[in-house]
Amino acid sequence: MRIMVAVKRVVDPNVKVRLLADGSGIDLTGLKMTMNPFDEIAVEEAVRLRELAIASEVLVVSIGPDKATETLRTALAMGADRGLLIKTDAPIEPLSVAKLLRAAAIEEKPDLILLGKQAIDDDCNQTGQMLAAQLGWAQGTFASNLAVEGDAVTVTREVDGGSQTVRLVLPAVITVDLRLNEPRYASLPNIMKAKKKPIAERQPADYGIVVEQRLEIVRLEEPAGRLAGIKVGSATELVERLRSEAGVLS
Amino acid sequence: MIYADDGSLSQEQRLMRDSCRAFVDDAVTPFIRSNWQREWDMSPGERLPRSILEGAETIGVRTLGVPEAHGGVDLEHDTEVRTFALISEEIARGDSGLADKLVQNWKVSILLREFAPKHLQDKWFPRLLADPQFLLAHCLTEPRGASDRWLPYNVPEAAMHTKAVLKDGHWVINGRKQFISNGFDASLYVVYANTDTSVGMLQGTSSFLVPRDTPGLTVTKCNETMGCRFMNNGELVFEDCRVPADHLLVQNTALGSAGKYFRAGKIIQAAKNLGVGVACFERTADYVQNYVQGGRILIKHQAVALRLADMATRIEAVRSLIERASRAVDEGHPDMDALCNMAKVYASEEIMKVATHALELHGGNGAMLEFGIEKLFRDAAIFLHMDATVDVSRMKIIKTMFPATAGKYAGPEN
Amino acid sequence: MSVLVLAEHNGLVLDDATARAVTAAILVDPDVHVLVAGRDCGAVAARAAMLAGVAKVLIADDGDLADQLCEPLAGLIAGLGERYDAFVAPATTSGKSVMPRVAALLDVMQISDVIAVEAPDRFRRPIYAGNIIQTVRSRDSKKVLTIRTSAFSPAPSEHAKPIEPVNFQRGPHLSSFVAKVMARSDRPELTSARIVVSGGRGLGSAENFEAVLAPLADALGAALGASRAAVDAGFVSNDLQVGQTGKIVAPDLYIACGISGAIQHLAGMKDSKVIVAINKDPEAPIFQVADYGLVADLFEAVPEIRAAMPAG
Ligand SMILES: Cc1cc2nc3c(=O)[nH]c(=O)nc-3n(C[C@H](O)[C@H](O)[C@H](O)COP(=O)(O)OP(=O)(O)OC[C@H]3O[C@@H](n4cnc5c(N)ncnc54)[C@H](O)[C@@H]3O)c2cc1C
Ligand SMILES: Cc1cc2nc3c(=O)[nH]c(=O)nc-3n(C[C@H](O)[C@H](O)[C@H](O)COP(=O)(O)OP(=O)(O)OC[C@H]3O[C@@H](n4cnc5c(N)ncnc54)[C@H](O)[C@@H]3O)c2cc1C
Ligand SMILES: Cc1cc2nc3c(=O)[nH]c(=O)nc-3n(C[C@H](O)[C@H](O)[C@H](O)COP(=O)(O)OP(=O)(O)OC[C@H]3O[C@@H](n4cnc5c(N)ncnc54)[C@H](O)[C@@H]3O)c2cc1C
Repeated sequence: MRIMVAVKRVVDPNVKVRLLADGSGIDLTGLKMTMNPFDEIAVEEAVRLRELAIASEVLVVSIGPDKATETLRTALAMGADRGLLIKTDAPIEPLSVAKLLRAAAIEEKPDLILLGKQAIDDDCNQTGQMLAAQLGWAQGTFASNLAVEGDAVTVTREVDGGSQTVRLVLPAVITVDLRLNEPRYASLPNIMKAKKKPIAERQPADYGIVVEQRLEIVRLEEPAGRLAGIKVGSATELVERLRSEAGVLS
Repeated sequence: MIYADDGSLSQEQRLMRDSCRAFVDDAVTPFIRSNWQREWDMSPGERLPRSILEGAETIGVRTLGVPEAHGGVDLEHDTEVRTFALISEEIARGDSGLADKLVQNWKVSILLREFAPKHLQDKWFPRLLADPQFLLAHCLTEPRGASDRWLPYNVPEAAMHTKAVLKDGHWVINGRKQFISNGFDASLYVVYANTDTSVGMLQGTSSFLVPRDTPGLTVTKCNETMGCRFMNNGELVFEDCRVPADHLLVQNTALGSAGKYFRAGKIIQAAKNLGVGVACFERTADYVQNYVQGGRILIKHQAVALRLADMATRIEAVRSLIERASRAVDEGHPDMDALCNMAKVYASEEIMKVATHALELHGGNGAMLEFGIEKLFRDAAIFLHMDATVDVSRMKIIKTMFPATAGKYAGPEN
Repeated sequence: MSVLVLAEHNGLVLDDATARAVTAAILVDPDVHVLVAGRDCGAVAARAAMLAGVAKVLIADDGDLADQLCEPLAGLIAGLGERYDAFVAPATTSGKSVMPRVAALLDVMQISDVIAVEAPDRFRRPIYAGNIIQTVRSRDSKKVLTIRTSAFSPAPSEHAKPIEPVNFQRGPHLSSFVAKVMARSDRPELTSARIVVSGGRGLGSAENFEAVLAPLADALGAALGASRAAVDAGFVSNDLQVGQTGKIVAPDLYIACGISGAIQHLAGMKDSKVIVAINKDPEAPIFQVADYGLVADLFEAVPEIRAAMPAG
């Protein structure tokens, strides 16, 4: 079985982003970038399936600028076999990402595609589902467990109020949630080894795809911050204030 | 600011730095912050939980310096020392004692890969790789003599007191080593001993490989240090300790041959020191932006803001010198010896000032063990002594620059 | 033309999230239809038909739709593509799963997690864990939206509107339902509760969650919530997680106990009307967003609050 994993380069989740002074965009200069945390989980799962000999090859794909090769290298250092960079400097929406991944999938013929459930920058939570639709494949979102059995994969999904288990016919697309696994660190020896693993490079035009912007960004704002309130001296004072001042207790 | 400029690093260096930082932020810093009492556990073996070294193992940071042929990692040779610096800084940012533990393995591995016969490399490298708790140590200092060795005073009366004599195909070692990093818990030691009493130490000192379980080797104590307490510094006694003849690494010219170790060692020392400084800055910058005094967060008071600027400036200056010195060592520049001593001594004094500012800016909290700022101060102080004192480092610098005259008057008395 | 809202239900009961999605849908176009897809879900359709502002309810009744699997459901909705200008679902796990699939089938970009409708083609939505609010204009002729339910109040009830069956064409069986495990709770649902009592790593154990926090929640008629650290440590099940990658809540009162206030957690609760933080660390970032902060050991403070309550 061959697995394709999509990985995105995003701002480190521990960094608080700010707008450019003129509000025209997000100030990314000098910010620490990293692999989208959910994608790390997807890579980890693929590598585990590879180590269990359930998968024979793990291909990682990233769509973005040259710098995204660093994200691919991280995935290779975690244990993926080879990388594919689809190079574009333009901002790119999930719909176009899905189209490019579909094109790559048609060429690479994976049996399973893993993605993070959402990217922590645009918080869209769309790409995997769109890709599944475009390929006409089954989808399993928010996976917290998965087991490959023959030509199907059983996925436990984190859903509101509990969990749901579904069985998907392969090939399928799965988006992963935080509790699927704990991703390994890219170890120093593996980082050096990853240097020798191949990364192919393509342009969207190679697939005959024009990257378009369906959404126009009209405005960006930082939400009005909440102001710190007061410190109360005791539990009794707290209850009293919640009742008389805030009016949230009857 | 404060951190290494990404643009100056290769892709691999950035990824390595990121892995180290993730490990430190996920495992080391939380451990240190929530277990401040552990430093004072008086059973040294228990102090650092095994899980921390096991964690270090998952990022492969314990065995740098081991050649790839032996299952280690081949760093880019022309930037190896810079990479060492980058990584030791990151680990020390979490805990400098842990960094001490690990870097001793790298430094001694370099010596082994250079000087140990192949069959001994085949024997020891796999053992080192297999056991996350396996540590190495480098034994030079004796109760009488460390500064002399660094300078070095190349006269017979300054020679090593520890002696090794070849008898029946075995080297028999007698003597005592003190202040040895990892000395208390290492599994394998590189030991320096006099093998020719008639000449100066540069001509008469040899180095040996001594496994911990060799009869005649006794680890007599763990030195309880003021800082870097998660590294167990130890004292060793050799009494008719016999190692096979092939355990000789370098005969007679061991001190000169160890240059590779010493230079990388000084850079790593400075880089760990820098990591302590970065931790001081991060903690302090965070504190002064949140802690309110006189109705304003501290940083709004000009006196506080100025101290923070001073901390940042010193850190950047230390970083610049380390970068220049480590590049010089990587490139074999003629000034490399002076530069790496400069980096080491400058880092130790500047970061001490940075730590002092951190203590000051934390007010009374700075003095409290559970706050962890005084730990950084204690850790910083250790660097004033480790791998040569401040004054001896300065002597080395000036002797390199003016070999014919500098310090000549301060020679041994007749 | 009109807007189609996908109803969220469990076959028996219409979820309150649907009423909230209807409120958002009306702002896109006043002609709102609701689609109830499932098996034997007439009661749900009847309930949906009573939501104010809904002009009609479509019901698709088929065994293949019983488990709300995304593949048939998306096919059904996309098949109605000609008839609608916009498709709206609450940003629940099912809405989030099916709607992007619909969008791709219609070749349009979905707008996720809408918190305000400024015009039929202009929407506000949070990005970067709510640290930035983005206003976007869709250039697509059809709109596909998921709605952050905490940002819209539920549409009230009124007299019933007509219910019409809609034809469903079965497709290939790509996926099948195996099992469902629902956490059972007598407490109010997290995303719609008026009061949420949340616990973090500071609670220390599952037993403490039950013994210390649950009594306060019950006394207040509140839902229980948790930080990711508490969930990861196994104190409570994962459906209680509040945050960027958990539930987004905006109750009248949010009480955070032993939660430090990481930005990912704040992303899930900072729109609450009143926030209370109880933490023993005076430096904990949670205090920067709390209206009322109590620096105290929660094991003492929480029972004291409980005792200070009128009914307690
Ligand atoms: C934490 C720690 C870890 C260490 N790890 C190791 C290790 O792994 N391996 C190892 O071999 N050693 C190790 N050492 C020993 C270290 O290298 C020595 O402590 C250091 O070089 C100083 O030597 P000393 O203690 O003998 O001091 P001394 O040489 O006794 O120095 C005392 C004072 O005299 C001054 N002084 C001495 N000679 C001269 C001179 N000729 N001219 C001017 N001033 C002079 C010194 O500058 C200093 O101020 C470690 C030490 C510490 C503190
Ligand atoms: C061992 C010990 C014993 C003590 N014993 C006692 C005792 O018996 N009784 C008692 O009452 N207290 C005692 N203290 C408290 C001590 O007096 C305070 O810790 C000290 O005055 C510093 O105050 P702080 O901790 O609030 O620091 P802060 O005032 O918060 O100072 C933090 C930093 O901000 C700077 N700073 C603060 N305000 C300004 C400003 N306006 N302009 C410029 N810089 C500013 C300070 O210089 C410092 O660098 C003790 C403290 C210690 C460590
Ligand atoms: C991609 C990504 C997504 C994430 N998504 C989420 C998410 O959706 N939701 C989420 O919550 N987190 C999320 N996180 C994790 C988040 O970064 C924090 O790690 C987490 O919120 C911390 O949980 P906590 O506050 O319970 O634990 P800690 O940060 O450990 O805080 C525990 C707090 O309890 C206090 N405390 C301890 N004992 C007591 C006591 N006896 N009395 C009073 N106070 C006490 C301590 O002072 C401390 O402030 C995410 C992280 C990433 C990287």
